[in-house]
Order: sequence, then C-alpha cells, then structure tokens
Amino acid sequence: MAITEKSPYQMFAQPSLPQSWEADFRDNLANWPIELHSQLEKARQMAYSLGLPDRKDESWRWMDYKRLDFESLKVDSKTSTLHLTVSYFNGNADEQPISSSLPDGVVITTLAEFFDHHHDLAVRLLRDNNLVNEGTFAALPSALANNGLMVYIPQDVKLEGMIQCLLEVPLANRAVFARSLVYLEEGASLNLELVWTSPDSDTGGFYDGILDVRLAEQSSLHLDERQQFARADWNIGHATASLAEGSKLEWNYAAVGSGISKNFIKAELKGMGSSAVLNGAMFPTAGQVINLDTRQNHWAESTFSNLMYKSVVSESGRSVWHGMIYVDPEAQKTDAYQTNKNLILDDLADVKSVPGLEIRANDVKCSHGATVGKIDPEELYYLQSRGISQNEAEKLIVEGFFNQVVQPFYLEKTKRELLDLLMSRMNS
Amino acid sequence: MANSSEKNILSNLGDSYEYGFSDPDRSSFKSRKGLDEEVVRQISAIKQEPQWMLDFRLKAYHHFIQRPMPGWGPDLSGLNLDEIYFYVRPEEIDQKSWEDVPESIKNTFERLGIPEAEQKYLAGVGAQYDSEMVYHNINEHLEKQGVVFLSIENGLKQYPDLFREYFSTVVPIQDNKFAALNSAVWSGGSFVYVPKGIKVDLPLQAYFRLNIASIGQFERTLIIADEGSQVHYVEGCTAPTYTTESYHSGVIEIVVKKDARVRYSTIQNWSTNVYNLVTQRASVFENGTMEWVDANLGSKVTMKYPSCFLRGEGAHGEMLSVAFAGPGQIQDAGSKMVHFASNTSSKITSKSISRGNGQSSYRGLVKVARGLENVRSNVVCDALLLDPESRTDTWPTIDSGSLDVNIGHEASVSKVGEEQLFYLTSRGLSEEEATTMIVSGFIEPLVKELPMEYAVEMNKLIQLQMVGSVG
Repeated sequence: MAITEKSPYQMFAQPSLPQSWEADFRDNLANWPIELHSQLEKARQMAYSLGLPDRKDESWRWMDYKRLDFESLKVDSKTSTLHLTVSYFNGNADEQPISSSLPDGVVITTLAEFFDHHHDLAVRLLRDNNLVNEGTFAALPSALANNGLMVYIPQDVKLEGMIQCLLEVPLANRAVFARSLVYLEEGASLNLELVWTSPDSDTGGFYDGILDVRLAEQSSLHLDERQQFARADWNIGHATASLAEGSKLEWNYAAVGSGISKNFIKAELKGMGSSAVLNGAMFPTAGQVINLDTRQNHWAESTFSNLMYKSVVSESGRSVWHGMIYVDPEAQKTDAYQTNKNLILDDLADVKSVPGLEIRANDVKCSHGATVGKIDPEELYYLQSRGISQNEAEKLIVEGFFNQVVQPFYLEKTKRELLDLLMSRMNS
Repeated sequence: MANSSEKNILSNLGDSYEYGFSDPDRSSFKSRKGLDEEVVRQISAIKQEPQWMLDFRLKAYHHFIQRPMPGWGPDLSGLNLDEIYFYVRPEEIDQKSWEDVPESIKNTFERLGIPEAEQKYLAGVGAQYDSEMVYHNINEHLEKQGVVFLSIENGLKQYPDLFREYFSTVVPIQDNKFAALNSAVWSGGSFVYVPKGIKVDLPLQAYFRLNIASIGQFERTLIIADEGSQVHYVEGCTAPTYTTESYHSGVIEIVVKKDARVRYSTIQNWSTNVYNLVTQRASVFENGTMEWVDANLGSKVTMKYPSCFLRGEGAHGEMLSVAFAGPGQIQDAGSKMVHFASNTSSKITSKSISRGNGQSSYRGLVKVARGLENVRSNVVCDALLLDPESRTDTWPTIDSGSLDVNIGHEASVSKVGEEQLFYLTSRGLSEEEATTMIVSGFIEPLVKELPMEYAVEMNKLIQLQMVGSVG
C-alpha cells in the first residue's frame, strides 16, 4: 500500500517512486524484444501500484533509506551500465584462469548481448519472470533493467571447474536496475561465482537487481556470490532459485559491501527430492547495515534444505537476518534446518535475528536455531595462555567462526580474499 | 496413566466440552450491546469510581477507537465488537462467604469443583462470573500478615493510594488495541498485595466463568509483590458453548520488587467460540524472579504473549507454556523477555501440539537494551504435529544491542514417533491411548510445575483434547 506524505513509517526520502522513472521505462522498452514488452509493462504497473514499502512491513523493519534520494540519481536507460568479465578456472586451486573455450551451447553473457545474439533463446527463457511478484524492488528491475547477467547451460552439459563472473556496475550518482538469469537445463551441472562490485565514490548510487536461478530436473549448481559494492552505495536485491525434481543447489553468499543493503534469498524446492544448502557470511562494520532475508520453501515431497548464516558485527555495524522455512502440506518427508549465529565484537554493534518456521505437513523434520554472543572469554584465555596476544587470539576465534561459512566457497582464492577482507576489518 | 480413575475419565468422555453447560441469564444489569463513551461512563458510575479512573477509562476508550486492529497474527474478522455485551453484572457480587453466593452461581462453581479445591489446596479463592467477582476469600492467617487478596474494585476502594501508584504502570493504555479496550471497560479481576518478606506458601486462585452469550469479559488483575515476598497465583477459565462468539480480553499487571518471587499460572480452557486476547506483563526489579506457567487448551483464537520487563540487576524471567490447538482452534501464543538491566537472565520453554486443522504458533521476542553486561537468554520451542492437517508456526525475534550477551534460540518440529507408537501398541494400548500417553509425556515438564489439583485437571483436559484423534 502506498504510504502518505506524513507517515511516521516512511522509510525513503520520498513517499513514492519518482515519476521520472516512467519516462525511463518507456526508453527502456527499446532495449527489449517486442515479444516481452507487455511483461515489462505489467511489471511497471506492479511497481507503481505497490509503491514504496514502509517500516510497518515486517521484512523492512529496522531499515532506513532516508538519505537515499531517488530524484537525484540518473537512470541510464539508453546505455548499458554493467561490465562483465568472465574467467574460467580449471580447478578450485588454480591461480590463473584458463583460456579454453566453453562447450557448444553454453551462454554466459550480458542481457544486452543476449538479445543481440540469442534472440529466440532470450524470449523463451525470459518469457516467465518468477520474481515480479516479490515486491516493489523486484518489480522495478523487471520493468527498468537494461542489463544483467545471462547464464545458460544446455541439457546434460556438465562443466568442470569454476566460472567466475566479475560484474562491475558504475553506481556513482546512478540508479541501476539489472535482471539476471542462471538457467540449467535437465542434467546440466555448473560451478559459478558472481562477484558484484562498483567503483569507490563519495556520493554512491543505488543498485536494484533480480536474479532468477532455475534448475531443471537432475541439474546441479554450485553458486558462490559476493556482494562487494562500494561502501557509499545502497543495494536491494531479490534472488530466487527454483528447483525441479532431483536438482541440487549449493548457494554461498557473502555480504561484504554497500552501506545499506537488503537482499532476499529464496530457495523454492518445487520438485520431489530436490535439495538446497545455503551458507551466508555477513560482517557489517561501522555504520553499515546488512540485512538478509532468506526463505526455504518446500513444495514437494522428500525435499531437503539446510541453511547456515553467520554474522560478525564490529563497531556500530548492524546485522539483520530474517529467515523462514515453509513446508507445504504436499511436502511430507521434508528435512529442513536453519541456523543463524551472531558474534558481537563491539558495544555499539546491533543484531536482529528473526528465524521462523511455518509447517503445514506433519511427517517432517524441521528445526532452527539462533544465537547471539560475544567472543567466549574462556577460548580467549586458552589462546592467550599459549602465548598468543589478545588481538591475535580474537582474530583466530573470529576466523574460526567464519570458516564454516567461507570454506564452502569453491575457489581457494575466493576463500582467502573473503577471509582477508573480513579480517582486515578487525585491524581497523 | 493406566490407573482406574483416569480410565474412567477416558471412557466417560463424550466428544463435547465438559464445561459447556450454561445457567439461565439472571444478570442484574447488562450494558447494551456494543461500545461507546456512554457505556464506559455507565460502567464507571455503577462502580462508583473516583474521577481519575473515569478519566483514565475515557482516555483509553479514545485510544482504542483510534488504534487500528493489529496487522499481523490470526484472523480476527469473526470478532464483531458491536454485538458484544461489554458489561454484565450478576445478581450479587463479591461475597466473602461461600454461603452468600447466589444459588445458581454457586452451582456453577460447585460443578467446576471450586469450593472443594479451596479447602484442599489453596490459600485463597476468587471467582469471577461474567463481569464481576462474585466471591473472594483468603485464609485468615494470611490476612493477619497483611496479605491483600480482593476483587480489583475493592482494591481500588480500600487501598486507593497503593492502587493508583501501580495501576497501568506495567501495561500502559497505549500498549496495544486490546489493552486499551480493557483499560476502558475493565471489570473484575483480582488485586493482590503481598507485604515485604511474606511468603504465601499455598497458591491464590481465581476462577473465571463466562455464562451468557456474546459477552465480553475484561478482567484486570494487579499483583504487587513487595520486597522479598513470594506468591503463586493460579487462574482457570471456562465458558458455556454458544453459537455466537464471546470475547475475553484481560490485562494482568505484576510488579515484582527486589528479591521477590511471583509465579502466575493459567489453565485456559475457554469453549471454542471465545476470542481470548490477553495482555500479561510483569515488571521485575533487582534480583526478583517472575515465572509464567501458561497452558492454552481452549478458545477459538488465543493471542497471548506473557512478558517480563527485567528492570533491575539480577532479575530473572521465565516462561513455561503448552498450547494445544485442536480442530478449528488457533493458539497464537508466545512470550517477550525484555532486558533493561545488566546481569539479567530469561528462559522460555514452549511446547505446542496441533491436531486436526488446529494451528499453534510461537511468537516471541528477546530484546536486550543498549550497553548492558552479562545478559543471558535461552529459548526452546518444540512442536508436535499429530496429523497431516495440523500446522505449526514459530516466529521468534532476537534483538540485541549489547556486547556482553549470550542468547540462544532453538526450535524443532516433529510428529509422534512411529517407533514409540509401535512399542506402546505392542504392549496392548490402543493407538489413541498410546498417542495420548506420548502427548502427556511431551507436556510433562509443564504439568509437574502445577499444583496437584491443576496437574490432574491438565491431564484430564489433554485427554479430552485427544478424543477422536486417531482414525
């Protein structure tokens, strides 16, 4: 519901979406195949009828975007605002990407290139938009995106090694909308890493993206994702993975960048026997708000999911996690687990943890757990009594805490980079 | 379980609600249906209240009108406040001698076993019939020690200063829509004061009964446990089964002073046409302990989240709850532990059972204010699902603004184990008996915290809920 001018629950600088984006929407239609125009128009209507969320909306509690002024940001509808670099690593330990070309039929490209070179495939794959109903910030990129990442793996193609996609988005003074798709046909398998970055800037910008991950029967995806936007940027993202019968997903997410970020991460277990393992690492530091909203929806029998999200909060950082497991009446024999652990390093740190279970079937095993605590003084004492300085001991404990959610990442290089990035925050 | 008396109970069980009988409506005064300022003034005038209380009621009424219905939780659209009698005064009220209670009302409570219970187990009894307390009594030796156990109206009359000092300090008008409504039209409930250092060794009991159809009961209870004192208060609730919805919306305020200890136990067994929307909260000061023991078995919809505001260092809050949602029932229960002081601790243990299309939920909050030291909280929720139609939800929230905390939450959902069932049925128990036994074992931790009389009652109620659960 649209909020009124004086609502105490208003969360953004303006009470409603900028009217100028309507013009940007019309410009953007030129980027899209004519077959998909009606879909974009529906998404535009959806965004404007929903309006901006407010703080009464449960999943937006504790968020504040008052300093985000949409009116001052430029939307580049006519030019592409995303730079993609694809690297192919042979194995998880390789330092250097290999140059071998990808198998026939595999497509890894930007949305703009996808339309140019794979028009029919683009229309087929993008005809359905699973995310448009997820809320205003899912409907907006559904209407306004002029770019994004497109990954398509044909039937039974099993890619060894790791494909890393570095996505640079020049966000300064811009509002960028992106629509991305990862599509695995039946029996396909892929290891994929997405690294979202933006150049440092004083003023920052706003990134709003959707990522639609679709796994056909018996396909398998290992997806590593790192959100490393510049600290001045705002970021809202919706990512949903739909799993068909027998498909497998391992999804690791590291929230590192952005000043204020809110990401919805959802696994839809639609096919019998599908399984999803979700790991997440969050390390908000001074003035940073990292808000992750996870859902594990079990729609089919004998499905499995296990989620482990960990957060270390330093200085005045704020970590917010909302998690939900839903088990449909159809989803008997489901196993679903959910854990959120928070380590607090500073008096000013702020942690909100909201786990949830909604269970509509009885023959299930479901549990969740959440903890909030500081570094265990006994662990610290033990290490210090072995001659390790307090500072070093604290670092070791934090590293140990994080390792559980960093080690599942595929590339050794990524694990190191993540740990270095996180540990560098302990030095400051 | 296989002793003969319980077998008798089981074999005598019909499918109906045991307390579903009703007496003829003999009320001496009924407000008209619905609510406006005039009804509020009328209630206050009948009770001959001081001006400040009328002002308080009117202020609450206006807040209630402005406040929207909660945008979360169970569907309350079946609750039509225009069709509710907000105040119903029985023939005679607040007698100290059981003999003086009118015959019809006495019969009701005798059928519920109240006087018998009083003799055996209790330090004092209060009984509320529709909107007013009809009976209040307390053991003489406690009275001599200065323990006060009165209807809330008499509390206001006899201890005006003490009353005013604490009334609405724990649950302010603005807390929620239903607390505002209660503040506007409250009637009945208990006023308890336990002086410094006095330990009341037997429980005080209040029994709540709704008799007529379409009634709203808005009891207000204020318990003040002075420094170093100790008291256990037990409430039980029943109502006849009518086709129209009734409404119960109590506000319970408890002040636990330094080193004091209060336990408040509820066996809620309203008939399944009662909306039960209750605000229960305790303010706990230095080294005080508050324990809520809460069993929700009846009602159509219950929304109830007893809470502890831990305001003094060393304060401890505890919640032990069981909810049983049978067909058509929603038990939306939970607890809030809010830590405002260092060295405070809290513990929540919640167990729920769902059967048929019954829906039980845990909705909870553990909140730690900024800059505190050594705060501990532990939350454990277990849900048992008895058949494919039943459902359960768990929505806890942890909100921590301090460094030196240790908060844990865990929840699990399971069904009755096939192996357990097989074992018991192979020993000659029917499947229903076996399931009942497993359920009884599941809620054992709560039952053993209740006074004996209530533990027996509780087991009986669980067996009632389980009738027809198999096949």
